Amino acid sequence: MVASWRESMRWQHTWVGVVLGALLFAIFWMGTLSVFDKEIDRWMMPATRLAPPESVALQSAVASARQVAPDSPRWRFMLPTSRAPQVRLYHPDADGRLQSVDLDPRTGRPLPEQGTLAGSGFIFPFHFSLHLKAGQLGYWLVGLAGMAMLTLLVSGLVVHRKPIRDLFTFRPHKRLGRANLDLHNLTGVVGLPFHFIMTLSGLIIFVNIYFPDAAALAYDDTADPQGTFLEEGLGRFNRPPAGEPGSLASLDIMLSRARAEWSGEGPAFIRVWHPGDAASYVEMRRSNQNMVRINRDQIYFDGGTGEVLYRFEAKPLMKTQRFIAGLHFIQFEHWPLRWLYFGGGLSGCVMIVTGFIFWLQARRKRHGRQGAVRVVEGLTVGSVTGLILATVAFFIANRLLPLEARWAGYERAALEVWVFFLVWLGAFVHGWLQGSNAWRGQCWAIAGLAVGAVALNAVTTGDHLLKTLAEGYWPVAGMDLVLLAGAALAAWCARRLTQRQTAGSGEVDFG
Amino acid sequence: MGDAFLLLAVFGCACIGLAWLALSQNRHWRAIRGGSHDRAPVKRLRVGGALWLVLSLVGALLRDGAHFGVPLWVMALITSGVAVALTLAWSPRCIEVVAVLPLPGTGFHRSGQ
Repeated sequence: MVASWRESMRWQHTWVGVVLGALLFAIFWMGTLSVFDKEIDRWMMPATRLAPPESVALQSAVASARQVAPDSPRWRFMLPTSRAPQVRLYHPDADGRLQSVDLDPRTGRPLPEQGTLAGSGFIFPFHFSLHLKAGQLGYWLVGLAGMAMLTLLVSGLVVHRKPIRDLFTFRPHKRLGRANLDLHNLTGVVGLPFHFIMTLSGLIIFVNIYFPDAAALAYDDTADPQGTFLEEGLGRFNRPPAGEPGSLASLDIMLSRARAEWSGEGPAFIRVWHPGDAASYVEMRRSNQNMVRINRDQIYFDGGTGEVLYRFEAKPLMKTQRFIAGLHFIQFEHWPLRWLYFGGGLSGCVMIVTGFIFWLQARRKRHGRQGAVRVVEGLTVGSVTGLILATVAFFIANRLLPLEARWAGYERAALEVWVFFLVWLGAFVHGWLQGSNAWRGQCWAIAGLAVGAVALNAVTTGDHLLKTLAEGYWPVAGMDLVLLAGAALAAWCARRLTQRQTAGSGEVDFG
Repeated sequence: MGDAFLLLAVFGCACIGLAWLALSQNRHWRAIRGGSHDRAPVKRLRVGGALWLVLSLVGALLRDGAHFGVPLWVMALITSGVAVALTLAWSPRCIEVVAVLPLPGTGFHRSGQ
């Protein structure tokens, strides 16, 4: 019974891993990069490379909002942080689509349009939605992958047999296949707490999507269950517009009052509802910088008088959910943890890749490059090195496309995304055509493009590595250093694969 | 400065603790010390290793409090675990250096010989 149960776990681990491995790698890779999404923003949006301001010119920012979005039903000002020094104004356009404009925090004036989605607009949403918006398909696919990941972690432990005895075992000097499996076990077992917490918290964040009726069931004794949930759980406050013109009181005074109520902590954002209307009101949401929990503390002010209309603090259960979400979102200011999360994410990527390679190695011995092996080989190359290559190509496109670039009706930001997806598609085709040899070629391409991205940043912005290091401007220096480290690692992998191919004959053999 | 020292202590204690736990295992003991694993002070290595990990947790809690300290400690354990495994693979002599560090109160010196 035990043997057959373990066998069934092995079957599950093998096939769920192979079928969903590519999707899991994409989620893990984008999640790992999202740890530094704001730093990627600074690298891809040179106009926002500003020093964090001492204070924010809020009234000037409101004046800019009046010019940029005079008829918008709401303005949301994301206030500067040490990682994102600009004020970002979000407003829905006439079609209800959310638009954003970056403002200089000192003058309140719009910064030059950068024409990019960058880290927080492309990489971060890719992590949880895959940019598949129709029917929330992306969220559901990520949820499916998350559930599968949890089962893979459990079945992996069962399959392993001796996870404790082999906890610190890594034998790089043995054949590559053995070393590969050791690395899979090491990153899987030692990194298990991180992988498990990240996957589970990711599912908990989107509980309202995966269990849409949960709120309705909890509040089924009220007339409007969903509305009551939003009000009691999340603190939503609503007041309809009066339809008459009105003025907006000083946001600075409201800001001081909010700070006083929150023990000196400021808001993460200020949202003005119905601007220009007599019934306008201002929402302030407490900052997350100094706590793990994603805050729901809110204060609403009357737009005309500045008087407090409503205060909200989440109840214990919601605070728990927000704490778990905060562990995943890592919006707090804690640099050691941020780097450790980055390392944890990379270890997850290594775990997935080594699992793929183990599957290929076992099948190639039995079946050569036939049928499923050939398909999975191309899939693995495309979804691993191909995705990394596409990411670096995304950075290169960002530095090469002129700010005013438009083509075939597509804006510059969309062109960058096109470059990403076309390079990714090309990598899959290359993988299917070249098989295991494609690893080497794509590793060399990653190394070359990563060095090219660093050089292009220096040429197009003047912020070369020596300068940013001397000035201690770490968002850009760190990004350049990580690109160079990635290039060195990719070149090392490509060289080792070349040596193995030269030692054997023909294709690279991981066995 | 104090924060940097405590951060170093969190990682240092985690690395030493996990190195001791690794040495309590047959494979790693034989790879580093040679000879029979029967002579290894397994119990002392395990208890001592666990105490080092508790010290690491105390350092994390002192530095960051419970909210940030516990995640920091968990991530420090994971990172140190990978570091110990890689060191055992490429430079096992470093682990031997770590292993002879005496834990106050245990009287453990030079692998208990």
